[in-house]
Amino acid sequence: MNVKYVQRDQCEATQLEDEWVILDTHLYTITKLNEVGGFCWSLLTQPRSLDMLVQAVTDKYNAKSSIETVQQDVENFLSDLISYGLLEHAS
Amino acid sequence: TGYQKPEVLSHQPV
Repeated sequence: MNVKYVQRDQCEATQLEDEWVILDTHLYTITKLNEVGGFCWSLLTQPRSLDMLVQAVTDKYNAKSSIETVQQDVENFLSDLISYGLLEHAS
Repeated sequence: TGYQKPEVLSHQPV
Protein backbone atom coordinates (compact mmCIF):
# COMPACT_ATOMS: atom_id res chain seq x y z
CA MET A 1 0.00 0.00 0.00
CA ASN A 2 1.80 3.12 -1.22
CA VAL A 3 -0.58 5.79 0.01
CA LYS A 4 1.25 8.02 2.46
CA TYR A 5 -0.13 10.33 5.08
CA VAL A 6 1.35 13.45 6.63
CA GLN A 7 0.35 16.09 9.17
CA ARG A 8 -1.17 19.28 7.86
CA ASP A 9 0.89 22.41 8.43
CA GLN A 10 -1.53 24.23 10.69
CA CYS A 11 -1.27 21.81 13.60
CA GLU A 12 0.60 22.25 16.88
CA ALA A 13 0.81 19.28 19.22
CA THR A 14 2.00 18.70 22.74
CA GLN A 15 2.11 15.69 25.01
CA LEU A 16 0.44 15.87 28.41
CA GLU A 17 1.25 12.75 30.42
CA ASP A 18 -0.15 9.87 28.38
CA GLU A 19 -2.31 11.97 26.10
CA TRP A 20 -1.58 14.25 23.19
CA VAL A 21 -3.33 17.52 22.47
CA ILE A 22 -3.40 18.89 18.93
CA LEU A 23 -4.39 22.48 18.22
CA ASP A 24 -5.49 23.23 14.68
CA THR A 25 -4.75 26.92 14.23
CA HIS A 26 -6.79 27.19 11.04
CA LEU A 27 -9.92 25.31 11.98
CA TYR A 28 -9.68 26.30 15.67
CA THR A 29 -10.15 22.81 17.01
CA ILE A 30 -8.56 20.85 19.83
CA THR A 31 -8.12 17.12 19.44
CA LYS A 32 -6.94 14.73 22.12
CA LEU A 33 -5.24 11.45 21.29
CA ASN A 34 -4.29 8.53 23.47
CA GLU A 35 -0.66 7.54 23.82
CA VAL A 36 -0.49 5.21 20.83
CA GLY A 37 -2.37 7.74 18.75
CA GLY A 38 0.15 10.37 19.77
CA PHE A 39 2.99 8.06 18.83
CA CYS A 40 1.49 7.64 15.37
CA TRP A 41 0.97 11.40 15.17
CA SER A 42 4.60 12.08 16.02
CA LEU A 43 5.69 9.82 13.16
CA LEU A 44 3.47 11.67 10.73
CA THR A 45 5.67 14.75 10.66
CA GLN A 46 7.09 12.88 7.67
CA PRO A 47 5.01 11.10 5.03
CA ARG A 48 4.29 7.56 6.24
CA SER A 49 2.40 4.68 4.75
CA LEU A 50 -0.07 2.56 6.67
CA ASP A 51 2.37 -0.34 6.64
CA MET A 52 5.15 1.80 8.10
CA LEU A 53 2.90 2.98 10.92
CA VAL A 54 1.65 -0.51 11.69
CA GLN A 55 5.21 -1.82 11.84
CA ALA A 56 6.31 1.02 14.13
CA VAL A 57 3.38 0.53 16.50
CA THR A 58 3.87 -3.23 16.60
CA ASP A 59 7.57 -2.84 17.37
CA LYS A 60 7.21 -0.14 20.00
CA TYR A 61 4.31 -1.63 21.92
CA ASN A 62 5.17 -5.27 21.35
CA ALA A 63 1.62 -5.77 20.19
CA LYS A 64 0.43 -9.32 20.54
CA SER A 65 -2.69 -8.58 18.56
CA SER A 66 -2.70 -9.91 15.03
CA ILE A 67 -1.13 -7.71 12.39
CA GLU A 68 -4.54 -7.45 10.74
CA THR A 69 -6.06 -6.09 13.93
CA VAL A 70 -3.34 -3.48 14.37
CA GLN A 71 -3.63 -2.55 10.72
CA GLN A 72 -7.39 -2.08 11.02
CA ASP A 73 -6.94 0.00 14.19
CA VAL A 74 -4.37 2.29 12.60
CA GLU A 75 -6.40 2.62 9.43
CA ASN A 76 -9.47 3.68 11.40
CA PHE A 77 -7.35 6.14 13.36
CA LEU A 78 -5.95 7.69 10.17
CA SER A 79 -9.45 8.00 8.75
CA ASP A 80 -10.55 9.87 11.86
CA LEU A 81 -7.63 12.29 11.62
CA ILE A 82 -8.32 12.94 7.95
CA SER A 83 -12.00 13.58 8.65
CA TYR A 84 -10.98 16.12 11.33
CA GLY A 85 -8.70 17.90 8.87
CA LEU A 86 -5.49 17.07 10.73
CA LEU A 87 -3.92 14.76 8.15
CA GLU A 88 -3.67 14.78 4.41
CA HIS A 89 -2.39 12.45 1.75
CA ALA A 90 1.24 13.18 0.99
CA SER A 91 1.81 14.20 -2.60
CA THR B 1 -0.09 -6.86 26.29
CA GLY B 2 0.35 -3.10 26.57
CA TYR B 3 -0.97 -2.48 23.11
CA GLN B 4 -3.68 0.12 23.07
CA LYS B 5 -5.35 0.90 19.81
CA PRO B 6 -4.66 4.44 18.58
CA GLU B 7 -7.70 6.57 19.25
CA VAL B 8 -9.05 10.08 19.06
CA LEU B 9 -10.27 10.70 22.61
CA SER B 10 -12.04 13.95 21.85
CA HIS B 11 -12.35 16.55 19.16
CA GLN B 12 -13.98 19.91 19.71
CA PRO B 13 -13.90 23.49 18.48
CA VAL B 14 -12.07 26.09 20.52
